Amino acid sequence: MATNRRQLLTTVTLAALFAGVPRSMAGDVAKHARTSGSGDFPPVAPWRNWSGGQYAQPAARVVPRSEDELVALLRAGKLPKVTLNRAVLPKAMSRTAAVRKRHTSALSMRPVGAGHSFSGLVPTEGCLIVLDNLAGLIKHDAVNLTATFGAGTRLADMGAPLDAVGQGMFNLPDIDRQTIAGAISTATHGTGVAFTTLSAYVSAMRLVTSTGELLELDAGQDPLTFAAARVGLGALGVITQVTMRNRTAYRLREQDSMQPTEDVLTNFDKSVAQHRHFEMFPLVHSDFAIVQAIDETDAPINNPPETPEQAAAFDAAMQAWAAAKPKDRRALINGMASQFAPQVSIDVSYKILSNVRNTRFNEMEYSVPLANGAACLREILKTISDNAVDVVFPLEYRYVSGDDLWLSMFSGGARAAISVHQYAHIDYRPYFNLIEPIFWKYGGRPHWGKVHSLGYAQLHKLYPHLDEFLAVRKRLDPHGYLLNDYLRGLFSIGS
Amino acid sequence: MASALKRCCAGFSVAVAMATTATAVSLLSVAHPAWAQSAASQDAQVARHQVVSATVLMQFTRACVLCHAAGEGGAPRIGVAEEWRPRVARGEQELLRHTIEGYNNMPPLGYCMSCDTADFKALIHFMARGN
Repeated sequence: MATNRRQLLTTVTLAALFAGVPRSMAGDVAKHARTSGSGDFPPVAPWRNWSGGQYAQPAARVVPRSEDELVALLRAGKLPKVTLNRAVLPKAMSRTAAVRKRHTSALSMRPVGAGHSFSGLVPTEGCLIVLDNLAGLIKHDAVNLTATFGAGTRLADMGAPLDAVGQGMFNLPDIDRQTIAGAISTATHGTGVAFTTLSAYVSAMRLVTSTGELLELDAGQDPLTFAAARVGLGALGVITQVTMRNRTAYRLREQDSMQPTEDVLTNFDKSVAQHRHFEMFPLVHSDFAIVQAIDETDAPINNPPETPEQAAAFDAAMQAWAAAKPKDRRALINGMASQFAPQVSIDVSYKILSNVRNTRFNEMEYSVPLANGAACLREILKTISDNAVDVVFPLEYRYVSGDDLWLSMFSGGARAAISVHQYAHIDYRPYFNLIEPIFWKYGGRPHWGKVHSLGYAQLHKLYPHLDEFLAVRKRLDPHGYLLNDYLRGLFSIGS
Repeated sequence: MASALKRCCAGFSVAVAMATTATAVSLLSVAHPAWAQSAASQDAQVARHQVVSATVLMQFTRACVLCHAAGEGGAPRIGVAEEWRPRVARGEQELLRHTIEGYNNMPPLGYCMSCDTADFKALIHFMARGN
């Protein structure tokens, strides 16, 4: 059986846990409706993130049809004010806290991209500002190889139009469902010590502040605001357009193989130097890792979709792993993994670098200094094994280039990014709580869009420019309209 | 086709009689093979199925189509009746709950951040009926 990294990460569905649906009845939805009308849901649908781990009941969804409309809305300040509904308060919240919160809440808004962040960046009881209508390629520069997209453009929708004008993005994250605004706002990144976060490829952007001021930002005009806004957590304003530095369109060859984890780790730096992109996905409770090496190529495209038989076989293998007790998995996984054959795929760059994830999960990712990467990974793998953590989701280990962005995890130098995942239907907290202190021990910085438990006291030590960022935030959003409870905690700002 | 898409992109959000233009018919026929017939037949078909608004169509093409075209993650494909029957049998309210809260591989809100409850109901009907 061939090793396919994408199969592993997209089809580890543990189908046995999800029983099939009945196949006996037919007809249209209304015919079989158990209730009519809107049922249990209010007209403004509750908001949840992709994994389902974050929740909010917004007062309204605001979906501006244009940048002008957004500016007008915010200048007029006519967004609905927050009227806190006690029914949606966490049960643990005291009456006193609720009353205080109700009296201090007024205008409140949060921009949302694709809802792919696992952290609490989006939840608001105020207005969700949705950028779906601000999408698509707006303009491109064939000489300087730049392209401007609407902020709500999904990464999955950028590759083809860029390819049509002869451009390709330097790098992409694994998952392609995020919007470009959401991705840069959280310093989302791909793999490769020669490649920065997506944020560092932004050459210009347009941002509307919470009071409706339109800012055109680049390195030449107001460089401080630009430095802050490229990783802005949606706390500075609502991004409407993003201009990316690109390169000429290109193809990539991906080879996935199963190799002993320790061998890969020992030679990791050498392998990184030999390939455009190189990363590993250690299989927990085993001695093997899926290894992915990607290089530029002129070879013909050869990227056939997986067959149903391949998908079923891989799913069955994962079910077998999951069915075994954690302490019994090592021999099983080692025995199977050692017989997986390498697999090669060749395609245009964006189809190799990024794709859909069908299996929902929660994720925690920290980036540690390169010198600490291997030791940190080894300790995580040992901790999972020693504690018999019941997890089958592989880890991810990769290098990312340094940059000079204030809130980038890679500000000041290249780091090793290490990710742990847990299925969305399983409580991730016991697992993540066990692993997170290991990241701290090795000097890790948390990914802004992923699960972590740090607040201002820890973050300002890890991000030397955090206070400068907060000064820009206060200048652009003095009333804190763009803050939610989560950001107040990160920034140590009272209600 | 281009003009219909441009109008959708401009964001007009009320239900429109898209069947009145040939471009709209060709756009709709993408989602409903039965509509890819003669112009007269198309007019008759669309008149009977004149329920899709520009907003629903745009929300479908921006969000739902990511999974409900190719069947990513086991999603029932628009236009494939046998894949919708067991879901439809569960009733509108349960499909709505699965859509808003997420279910198996289906992410909450189905990637449509702009959708409210009425939009989700319309999208469910649009996809389930499209076969």
